[in-house]
Amino acid sequence: MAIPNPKKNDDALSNFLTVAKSGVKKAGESLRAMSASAVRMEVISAGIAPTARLSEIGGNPEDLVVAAYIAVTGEMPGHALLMFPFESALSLVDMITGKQLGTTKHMDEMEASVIQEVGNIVTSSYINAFSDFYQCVLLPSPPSVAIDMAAAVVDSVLLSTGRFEEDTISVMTKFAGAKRSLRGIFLYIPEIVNSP
Amino acid sequence: MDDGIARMGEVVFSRPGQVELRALGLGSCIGLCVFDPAIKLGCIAHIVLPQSKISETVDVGKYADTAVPYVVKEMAARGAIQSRLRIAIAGGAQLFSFGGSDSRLDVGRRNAESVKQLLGQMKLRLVAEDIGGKSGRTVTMNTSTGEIMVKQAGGEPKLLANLTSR
Repeated sequence: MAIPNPKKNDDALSNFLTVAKSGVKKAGESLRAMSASAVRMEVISAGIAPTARLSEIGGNPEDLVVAAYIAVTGEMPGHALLMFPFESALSLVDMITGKQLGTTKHMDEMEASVIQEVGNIVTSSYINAFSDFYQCVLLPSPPSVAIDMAAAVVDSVLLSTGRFEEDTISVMTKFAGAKRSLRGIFLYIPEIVNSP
Repeated sequence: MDDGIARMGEVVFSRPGQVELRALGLGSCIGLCVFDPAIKLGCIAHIVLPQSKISETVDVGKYADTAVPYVVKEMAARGAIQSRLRIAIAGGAQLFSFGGSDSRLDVGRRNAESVKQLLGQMKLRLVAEDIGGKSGRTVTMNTSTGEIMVKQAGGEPKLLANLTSR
């Protein structure tokens, strides 16, 4: 089925955002199951916004973050990014692995693989909502993890298509810990290929 | 905002009271630093992509092929002389491995190649570069000393070049 361009049609955008929100709900359920209810997700914004503003979602551009990037291919290609301030990423690893908070102090291969797995679970659940609604096949790439400056992470993802769109449809989701504050963002940017 | 910070696609110039220019957290983007030591005039362009589309003329700072000529023209309008300009570039990293060997996806490398090609065509003097790799960078220019500092995530700023010295 031809997927209408959500940037050019209000109904298509509204459908897209409804599916996105249900995708976040599914992702949240998977993450809760994975973390024994320690981690929640909620949508903080969904819509079209100037792309330049996205580069500041991580807060201070130079702050150290841990990020997982997943490219989605298929009939509705897109880019998924999970990004956590460094300290929150350490807490997340503790929560997922059932350790006492404060146990994880470094982000080595083992810890990075936990972040990768969170990226897998969240993105797969999220894109399932789209596959179901639009009846299309979507495939996530293996997650790639980076520990770097927030702005550098965001620009790498925004520009991975080799294009710079003035406006970007984004769905921004916040992560929260049940017992301890946990900050984090899940950003999904659909790649709009010159469809009608 | 005139705080000396070049955000994505922006170009900032030094002026009285604003001797420090910066581009923060460059990933695949390039920080193009241009300096005329004779008049201590400097500029940083935060270049986003290698090539503009033909129809697009608005955001000249965003693309390598429009930013480089624009910067040279604007520096000249502010009293700089092209043959005196000294240049350093930083950025062009690839933070994530996108899988496969599709080099089109390595926007950082393409950005760096495009900027260097244009500098060559315009016979501009590239004094120093810190490009590629897997880490983001912040680049800072001090127009009173001519120093270009580069900082990577979690590290201390390091001197890349002094654009005053010959």
